[in-house]
This record gives sequence, structure tokens and C-alpha cells, in this order.
Amino acid sequence: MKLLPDERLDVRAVLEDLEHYRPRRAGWTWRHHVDHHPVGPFVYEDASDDLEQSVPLPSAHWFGDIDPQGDMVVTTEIASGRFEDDLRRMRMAAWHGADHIMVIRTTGQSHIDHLIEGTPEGVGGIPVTRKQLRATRKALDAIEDEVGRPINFHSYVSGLAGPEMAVLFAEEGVNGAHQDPQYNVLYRNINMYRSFVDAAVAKHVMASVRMAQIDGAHNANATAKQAWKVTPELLVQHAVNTAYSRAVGMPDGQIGLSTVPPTAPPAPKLRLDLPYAVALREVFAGCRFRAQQNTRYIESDTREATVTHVLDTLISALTSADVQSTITPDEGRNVPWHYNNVAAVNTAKQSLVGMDGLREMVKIDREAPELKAKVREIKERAVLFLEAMLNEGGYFAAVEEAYFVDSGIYPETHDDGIARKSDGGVAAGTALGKRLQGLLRWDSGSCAG
Amino acid sequence: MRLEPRPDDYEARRAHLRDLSDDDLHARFWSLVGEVVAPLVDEARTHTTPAIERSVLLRMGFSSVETKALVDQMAARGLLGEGTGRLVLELAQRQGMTVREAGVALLDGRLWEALS
Repeated sequence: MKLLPDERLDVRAVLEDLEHYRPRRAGWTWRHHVDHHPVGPFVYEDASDDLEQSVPLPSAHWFGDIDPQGDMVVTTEIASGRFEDDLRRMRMAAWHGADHIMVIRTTGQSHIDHLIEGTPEGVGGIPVTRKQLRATRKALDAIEDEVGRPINFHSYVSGLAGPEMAVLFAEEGVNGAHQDPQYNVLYRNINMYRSFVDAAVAKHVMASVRMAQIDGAHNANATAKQAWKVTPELLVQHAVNTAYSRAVGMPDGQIGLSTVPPTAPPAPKLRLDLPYAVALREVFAGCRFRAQQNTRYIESDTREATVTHVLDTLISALTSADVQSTITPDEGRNVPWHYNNVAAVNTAKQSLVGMDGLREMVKIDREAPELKAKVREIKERAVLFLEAMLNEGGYFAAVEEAYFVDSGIYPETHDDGIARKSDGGVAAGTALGKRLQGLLRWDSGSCAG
Repeated sequence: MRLEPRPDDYEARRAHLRDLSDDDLHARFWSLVGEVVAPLVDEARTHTTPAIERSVLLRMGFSSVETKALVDQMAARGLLGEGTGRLVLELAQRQGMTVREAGVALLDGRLWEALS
């Protein structure tokens, strides 16, 4: 299937002979960094290869229509709820600079204890099925030929059907996925034993095809009453998923931390968010960082949202990020409009290209007293959190006692965290002892080791 | 039992951490994480779930509809812990048939007595 720039995507062509379509590669693709990259009248320091076809920023016509691409992968989240609309939106986003297409699942799929089939509509996202995955991969293969850059396809290996979803993703050429059993436990009330047992196999399957993994810690930011107070806990959540992933054989290069600058103005955003970003990158050196933009404090004003998201991207540029994710600026008021996927991608591209070479000229003063003290404090609070978890009896006991998403900054607590019963939740009692053992060899370890 | 509301007593609690270097603090962090995760890994090593069993059958070539029906029937007979993929594979080998033929036979209600 070949796409022409002046012709609409033909969904009938995508579906034609779909039963025989197979993905042409497996695994994640990073952007290729190019040193001292000349584009038009300028030389870029944080650049990747140019696209063959793209839509530049509006002001580019003053600069010879150049469209320089930064070296971070750029995400757009696709959540129309209609599969064919999703495909059109992916193409628009790719032309504007997205190479990580994150397809949001319909409300409720996490609680379906098996795979589903076909291409039904969804709410807030589409039902993920084999047909939907294959058609999307086929469309994305054509779109990446059109723009001249590999496009990473991403969705969710979570909920009750995690292991089989992982197999499905591996077979259909999905390049990245969210996988974090803590998401099931905390936000979907799926039984803890079931979630962690499922996750081990799902992660192992993902690792086998070099699928990039993103954890679920960003959900704590989005759920917390006072998001800047969950920063010690975020280190713990990242670490549980990271250590668990390594234990089942996933290499560090596939383990991505989903991190969000927690606050938005009128909070003193950089003074709160930058120490957290620095602490995280020091404790988890060697892992990949997926920098999400803030959603917790987004209202219905798209201008306000965009300014917050530019500040988020500044934090990525000052510290580091492997993936710069974007959130549509209208997410706070409705299911995102097509145009706003493009607006969000353009915000990231404009910000990152505008900040090209920033760290060559501007560095974080790691010895500045306030920053130094705050970074250390976040790390120590996280260690205290872990010590308390172990004193309670471990992870399951800590969840039962509502340690997570409490609005106090640990060790302060407000007794308002999320509590789950280890013998309760959806699908309780479905993790069963097995008599066949020893098929997989697992080694424990830490990311920073 | 849930955490009782507690004011921020960080300064009192951090006494044993205050003099650690950053490297030592990081090492302590990861050591504690290892202790938290170890029992979770053990749990995964010794347990299975309906979704895991379906995932094995899916990779063996059965459709999602077939995997669900097979695993539901295996669960009703108390066989999930045996490994459903292994049971189907060994049944096929013993009967001199393909894996698919063995699975379809079970779905048709045949050969269950030959599983063990």
C-alpha cells in the first residue's frame, strides 16, 4: 500500500488482504542522533535525521521551509475511540514529527478477562484487537514510508489479559507498551497476585521481541490530590517495576520510566519539579526516561496548557529524556480533537528545536544549596518509604495499608491513599500454583547496578 | 488497618541516613527494592493464571476464542496448574496428531480422558 500526499488514507485499502499482512520488523527504534547537523542556514546539536516529507512549523517559510527534527522520540496519544479516525490522526501526527504513536484503549478493556476481536468503537480509545493492531501496523508501515522515518506503535499490556496481549503485540509488530502490575492493582483494583504473576510472563514476552516498556508511575501524578507530594513514592513505584522487569529478563535499554513534572503554575514549577527530575535520573542512571507532560493540572484553557507543556519540555531539555511525550492541550475538556494532536506535537518540536544545544551553554547547578538539599530529601524520603514497606510485611501489605497515592509527602501521611485487599479485587483467587516449573531462568538486579 | 494520619517527621526519621554518601544512599535504595521484589518474583515463578495459559495456547496457534474455551474447560477440571500448553502438546504426541488436532478434539469434548 502506497500513500500519496494529496490523497486521503483509504481505509478499504488498509483492510484489503489484511489476513495475510505481517509486520516487517520487531522491536523499538530510537532516533538516530546526528552531530553538528546542518539544516538550511543553521547547524543543530540535538538533531536527528531529516524526514523525507513533513509539515514544518508555521514560521518555517521565513527559513527556507526547513523542518529540523530533535533527537528525542516524540509521542502522540491517539484516543478518538474510532479505529479509522485513529489511522488518519496518526498520519497527520507523523507528518508533523511524531514517531511514537500511543493508541489508547477503550474504557473497561482492562477488566475483560480474555482477548476480543473485530474493530468495534470504544469510549476514550479503541478496543485493542488483533484486527485493529494489524490494520494499524499496516497503515503505519505505509505512513513511515511516506515520511521517511520508522514509527513506533504502542499500546497497553495491562488488565486481566496482559500475557496474551503481550503475545498479540509481539506477533503483530507492536513496538512499545505500558506494562506495570502496580497500575492493575492501584487504579483498576485487579487482584495483586494475579497482576504480578501475569506481569512476569508479559514482560518476558515483551523482552523477547525488544519491545520497549513504559511503567505506570505517571498515574500517581495524575491521581494525587497534591501531585508534588508523591515524588518519594514515585521513585518507589518506578523501582518496583524496574527491578521486577530485570528479574524476568528485560534489559535496561527496554525499561522506560514514565515520568511527569508534577506541578503547573501558579505553583513554582521549576523549583518543585526540577529537583525531582534530577533525583530520578541519578537514582535510575542507565534506564530510559519517557518524559510525559503534565495532565494533573490542565484545565480547559489550551493556552495555559501549552505554556505548562513548554515548561515540562524545558525540564526534559535541561535534564534528559529519551522519549518526549505530548498531551493534547484540549484533553482537560473533551476527547482530543484531531488538530490538537498536531498542536501538541508541534509544541514539543518547536520547544526542542528552539532549545537546541541548551546544555552546551546552560547547566544545572548541582551544588546550588536549595537544589542539592531537595534532591537529597526526595531520595531519603523514598528510602524511608521502602523501609516502612518492608516493616509492614512487603509490597502487598503496604498496599493493603494504603501507602500509595497518599496526599502527604512520606513520612507524612493523610490516611487517604488507595487501599486494596491482597485477597480481593477483580479476579481474586485466579493465580494458581503450578506443578511445572523451571522453564524460565530469572535473575534479580537493579537498574543502577 | 491503614496508616494513621501523621505529621511530617522526616527530620527525626532520617537520622540513620543523614551521613550516608549519595552512592551509599543509592545502594541502600536498590537493596531495599530487591527485598521488596524478591517475594513477588518467587510468587510468579511458582504460579500461573488463566491469562498465562491462554497466552501459551495463543502462541501455539489457537485463536483467542479457542484459547478461552480450552482454558475455561481445563480450569473446570482443575488442570491449569499442569500447564495447558504442555497437556495439549503431550496429548498430540501420544495420539500421533498435530497440536491443532489435539486442541480441537478437546474443544469438541473428546480425548479428555487421555490427558493425564
